[in-house]
Amino acid sequence: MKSSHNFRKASASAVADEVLGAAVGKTADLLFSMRAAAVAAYPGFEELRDWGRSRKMEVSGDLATFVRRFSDRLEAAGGAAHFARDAREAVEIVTNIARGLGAVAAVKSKSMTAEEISLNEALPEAGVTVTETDLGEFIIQLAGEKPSHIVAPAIHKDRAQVAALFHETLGSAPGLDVGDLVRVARKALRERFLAADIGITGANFAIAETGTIAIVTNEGNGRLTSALPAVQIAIVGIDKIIPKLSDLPGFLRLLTRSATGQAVSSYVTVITGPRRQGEEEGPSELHVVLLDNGRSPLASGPFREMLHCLHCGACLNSCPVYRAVGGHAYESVYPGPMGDVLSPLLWGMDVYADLPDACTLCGRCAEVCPMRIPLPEYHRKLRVLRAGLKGEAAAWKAEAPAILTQHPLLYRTALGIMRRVLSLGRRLPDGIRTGLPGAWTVCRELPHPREGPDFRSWWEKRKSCHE
Amino acid sequence: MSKPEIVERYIRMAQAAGTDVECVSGAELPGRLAELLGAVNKPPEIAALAASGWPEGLRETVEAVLVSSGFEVTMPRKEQGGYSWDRDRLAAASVGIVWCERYLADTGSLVLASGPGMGGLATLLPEISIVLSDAKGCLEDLADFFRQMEGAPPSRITLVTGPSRTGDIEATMTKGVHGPGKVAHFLLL
Repeated sequence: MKSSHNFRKASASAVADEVLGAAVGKTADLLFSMRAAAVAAYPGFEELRDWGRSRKMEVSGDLATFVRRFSDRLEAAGGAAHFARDAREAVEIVTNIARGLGAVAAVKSKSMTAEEISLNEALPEAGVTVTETDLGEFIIQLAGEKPSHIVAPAIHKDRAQVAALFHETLGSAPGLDVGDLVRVARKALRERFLAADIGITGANFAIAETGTIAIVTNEGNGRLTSALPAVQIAIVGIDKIIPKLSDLPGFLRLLTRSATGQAVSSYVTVITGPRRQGEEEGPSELHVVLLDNGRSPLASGPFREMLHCLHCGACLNSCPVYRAVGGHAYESVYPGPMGDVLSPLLWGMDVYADLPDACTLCGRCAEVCPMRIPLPEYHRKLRVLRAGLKGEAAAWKAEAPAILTQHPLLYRTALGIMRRVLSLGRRLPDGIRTGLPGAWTVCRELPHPREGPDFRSWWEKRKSCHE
Repeated sequence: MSKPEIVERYIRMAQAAGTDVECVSGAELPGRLAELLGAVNKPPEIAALAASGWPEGLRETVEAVLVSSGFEVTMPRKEQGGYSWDRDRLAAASVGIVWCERYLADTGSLVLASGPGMGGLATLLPEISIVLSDAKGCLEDLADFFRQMEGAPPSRITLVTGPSRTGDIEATMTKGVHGPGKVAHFLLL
């Protein structure tokens, strides 16, 4: 897909960009605190997280069956199910449908899965112009950029930048405020909605029991995209499946509170097949492209719970690394903690070798994840896995701390040696002392063991005093 | 007039989400509706009206208020093969009015189920969405709605909670980005 990505290099310029830092910090802070308030206001939230995880475990434990059930029920409801093993197949399916219809214009509501298969680059080649209709995505499309957050794609832009962009590309007056900018976008996008032949959406949930998809938006663009054009194509990762319609209320509670701190988003559209006999709303054809693209193998491996991700973005908002560098430095559709894990798994460790290191193992992401995905543990596992790819010695080095902590005698001995080495090191001249450990001391100091006995021998002495 | 506790809760939640809720009697409705229409519009304009779903006689009442307020009314037309909107007139409408059978106390959401002539798009395209319901339509939550649903789900169920909004520019909450900037819910009690 792309040559190897260097996170250290890509993040260096992002850290120095003050506008970016302020914009990302402001929105991430707000989303983080809104989530916290919404969770605090809902007493059963912790139990709900456990429930959600167990429902997703059921699906990831038997993924193929649930995929088949979903597609059977979708077809029974009059929809068309398509399977795509990878991005290329998914793009082919969509462009073939578009060509078959002779379509020239598509509107699209926000879909990270469509980003994952680079659909926007492929549609023009099939003669279809595609317009992003989520305001954030529309801004990004006009700017010729990529989204930098899975929920708030234009998080890295401030209002002055958006006003300048609209002035340049849509001919609006310069220096507009947020309300006027939104009105400009409404007018421009409404025309595109009415003219579109195809509506392309993602789905937040795909319900196996009924072949239903659910789309959650605040703007209403998901509803318009799925209601106005004659044909709807939904690109749905097979990880979006939940077992039953009766599971939807619980998952909606988890998703909207985690994503934006809302009890519910403004619009939840629950679609079961195309429009029926006599109805005046909705597409006459509904296609659902079920995308695998590396997901099936995850179900039977050590990273199974990545399939439970709701793409709510809570881990991004809580991550000190994401907040410092923003989304673009990750050079992946999926940034932040969930992206650190998912990107190497979907596109290869060789491409995203650095991402498991874009993590301080602070654990905030695991605290907020509605599905309780053990993200810090997965980062660590990926580092070990990566070391294993480099050879046995590197793998042993990566595992060494784990082995040490599991063997008390070995741990105590190693700690004693470290203390001695470090106190010896203090007497060395500065240049040698900081130079020796290499990259470790670029932006931090070596620990200074205190003089006198270590805690363990101190404690042994105290204990005998008390007895 | 006293309201059931569950309706009180709905009103609190819906108002928190930005929906304007007003309780009226059947006799008060035409006057209040005319007041709202007069305050927000400069006729002649177009109003999009659901064709089906209404309790006996209510659609005609609403239509009469619209006409006397200076609005032209567009409705899904019944032709061979079912209902269809006049797309140009729907797109030009400044107000949309529908009957909403069910709404949820838990989140303050309207539940719009699809069906021939139900006119769901009238709650989406115009700047102002006016929705009418009665007290017995109030349910606890979405789980309750699914439990009461008979058979397979309709082709679409839409939950509407407050106006269309976005926070995509600097997380500044702004109303009316694609859908209505104002949602007014009249509860007939």
